[in-house]
Amino acid sequence: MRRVAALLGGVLLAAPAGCTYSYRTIEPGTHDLGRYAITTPVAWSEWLARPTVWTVHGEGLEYVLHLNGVADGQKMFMELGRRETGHRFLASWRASEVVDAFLAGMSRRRMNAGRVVKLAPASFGPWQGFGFEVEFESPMGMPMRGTGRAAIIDDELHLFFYAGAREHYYEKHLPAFEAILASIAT
Amino acid sequence: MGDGGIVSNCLIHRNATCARRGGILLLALLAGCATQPPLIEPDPAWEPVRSATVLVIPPDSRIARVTLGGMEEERADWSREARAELQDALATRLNWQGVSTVSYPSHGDVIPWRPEDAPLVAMHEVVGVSILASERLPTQRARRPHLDYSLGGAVKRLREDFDADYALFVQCRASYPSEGRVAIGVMAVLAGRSVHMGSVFGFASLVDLADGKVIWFSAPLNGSGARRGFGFGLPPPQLIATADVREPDGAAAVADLLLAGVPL
Amino acid sequence: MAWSLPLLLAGCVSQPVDDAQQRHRPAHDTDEAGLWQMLEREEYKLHTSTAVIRDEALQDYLESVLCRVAPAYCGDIRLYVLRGPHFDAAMAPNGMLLLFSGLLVRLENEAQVAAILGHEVGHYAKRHSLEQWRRLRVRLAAMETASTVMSAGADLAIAVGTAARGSATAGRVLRNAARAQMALHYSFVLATFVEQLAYSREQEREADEYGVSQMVAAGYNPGAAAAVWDHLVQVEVLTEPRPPRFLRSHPLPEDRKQRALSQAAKNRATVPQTGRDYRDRFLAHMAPFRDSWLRVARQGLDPDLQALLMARQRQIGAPEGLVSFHEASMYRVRNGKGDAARAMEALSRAVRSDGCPAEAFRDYGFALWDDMRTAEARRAFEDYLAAAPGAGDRAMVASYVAELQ
Repeated sequence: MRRVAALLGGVLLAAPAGCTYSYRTIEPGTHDLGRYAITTPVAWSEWLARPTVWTVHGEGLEYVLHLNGVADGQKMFMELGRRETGHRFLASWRASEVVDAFLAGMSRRRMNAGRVVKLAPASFGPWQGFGFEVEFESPMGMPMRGTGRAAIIDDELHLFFYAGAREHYYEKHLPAFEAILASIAT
Repeated sequence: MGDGGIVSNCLIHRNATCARRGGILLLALLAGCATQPPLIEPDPAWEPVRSATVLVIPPDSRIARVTLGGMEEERADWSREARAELQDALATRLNWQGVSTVSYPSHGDVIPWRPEDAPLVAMHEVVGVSILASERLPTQRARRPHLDYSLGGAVKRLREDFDADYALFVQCRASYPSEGRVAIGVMAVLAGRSVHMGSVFGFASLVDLADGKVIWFSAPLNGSGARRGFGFGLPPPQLIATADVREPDGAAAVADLLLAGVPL
Repeated sequence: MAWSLPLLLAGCVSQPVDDAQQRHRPAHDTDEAGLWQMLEREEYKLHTSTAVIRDEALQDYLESVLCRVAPAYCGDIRLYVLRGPHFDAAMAPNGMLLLFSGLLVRLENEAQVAAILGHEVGHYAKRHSLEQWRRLRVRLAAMETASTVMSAGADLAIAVGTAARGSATAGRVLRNAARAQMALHYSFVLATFVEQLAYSREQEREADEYGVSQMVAAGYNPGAAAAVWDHLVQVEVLTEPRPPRFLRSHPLPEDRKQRALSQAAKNRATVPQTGRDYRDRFLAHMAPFRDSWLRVARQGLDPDLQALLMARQRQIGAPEGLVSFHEASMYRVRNGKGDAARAMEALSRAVRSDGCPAEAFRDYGFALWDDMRTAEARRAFEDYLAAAPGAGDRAMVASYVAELQ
């Protein structure tokens, strides 16, 4: 039961977020990510956090998220300047539970009105995993599409998620993301 | 990328350090605006369509008043005046360069675009902000000024509806002080401080209507400071950066700055 | 002395605004037009937003309640239902009214919706946003004036003191004066903030009162307003720490409930009939959305609040199959001691009850599988595939069936 104008007033009093982002380049080629290695055909700017973020044009337009082994009982998201968000990952989860929890975590920061349109078994390198597709809106109101691939390996969650603006950007880097997924190898 | 918000924020939670920081920031912003080259330029091999026509989209303008207390208060009348003046000035400036233009007719007071084109304007904002923020991304920094951004294929509709080759999208955010604020400004000078007197911020994109590619992008307006005629002795280019877009002369000056170096 | 100046000044200048006229449009050169412009832009975005629930029957129904509880402003207010987890609604000064699905899924009857709508329309009718905006403007102006005058004075004094170099003590005194000036500035900021909140609480009280009187006039049971605030109390108790009164933008829900009750009692003394709740027709209109809204409402909620949400669903009389399914999901995510057994029990109840979503069969399959009851698990998965032939995770579940063969 609030009034929208109160928010506008709040904007005036809110302190500016004085965060400095530090990105580094992920060059095209093979990169060792610990348990497995991937090969990317294009260069990305990487922002280290949990999840790790890769982007080409900026996160408002497209990004790849990587959860590199969330242990049983650990929270899935830990974003800069925020408390840990989302559910604790449980190794006993099935694919649909992982995806639900992933969307719940995303909905706090990156995703509005997320909806799963597809969930199916898929390989994650040599491991058996699952793939999913979602539709959602970015916090700036852009219609977005996303696709993910995940597996639970030795009770740890490994997940790649790619999202892009439905207009132009999603299609543009989807082949690069698919190449990364196809390259997962030990 | 400057942020006028930091300056105005200092006003509300002011202390000596903050005011000083605001002052430095202000100078940095103004220094930046005089030299900022276009962030995207076409490849050397690129050539414009022969006798090209440019569709001038009504600028996305939000004009506010800085109240005596330093609050930015949006003005519906100013926003509309600025939009009309800027749209005219941009077309005039292109015509003067020998480029023919088509003007997109305004469809409403607050929202001037056709409902089906609103997503394009929203896309332009997100893409523009991403281009401005691309300075942070090492992959993009390396490619400047030949960055690859696009508004997507949906722009083709504009090409058909308006029979144009390119579209010019402009976003403009500006604020000007009230009389009371000017008085505060005078007192602040006596106290040896700078206070937020308003700001002008904007960017322009030239978009290829064949495929949506952003051929050229410029964000020369990124200033914060005093109104014309009350300039704390700042040199002329900075004054132009804070020109009054609500009036034909000011809009013309801003259009000149925005379109400096447009490759047509 | 010096600090009282801004407050005095503010007191003189800020004047109350009149109630909104029907078909009110602000003149284009006013601060109000600027405020409307900001919100009109936000509203425009809703037209393409996927968060908006576009359902003709739902829209017509809620608009009919709006027009009944606020006939005067029926043509001025545009109502939007948005997907959102929280018990929340919002009124914009330009007539854009937002109802979040998290609110609708927790209400029991039409009179409670009318209470919310009446309250929100109260903000519109009394033009509270404009009032608050103008007040803030005057406060900040007073603060800025006082602060600038004082800082100019202090700087001058320091300059004089430094130039004179009379004594070190004088310099120190002057520096302390500058610090005092800074402290005063921050006291203004704090005072303005606290005062602005107090004013906001006053507006909320006014809107509450407006809402209840509109409900009575429309023949709704005004006691429903008290029930709404009572639910807010329950939610708040679970979200410690509760902020103190003076730091709240809204009155304490306990106080709102008490005031609503006494206002309702006063009305009953003058108007003999008690008014109606219209429970059944409200629940019938919400029924098609309850499952998806519960999913949204549960996202990101702490287990305690999820439990409250589920208890609320039972109280409302939501179908057993639906409530049990969501309870089970909550247990599976919480995964505390004994939760697996609770989830199993809830799921086996869900699949036998009415209103059970197809996913209950799938989750039941998981629970059975965890329990090594593979044949039953496979049957549950098959039931799921039969019940939800177009499900997005069809391929996934089919792979489980194959695995369990």
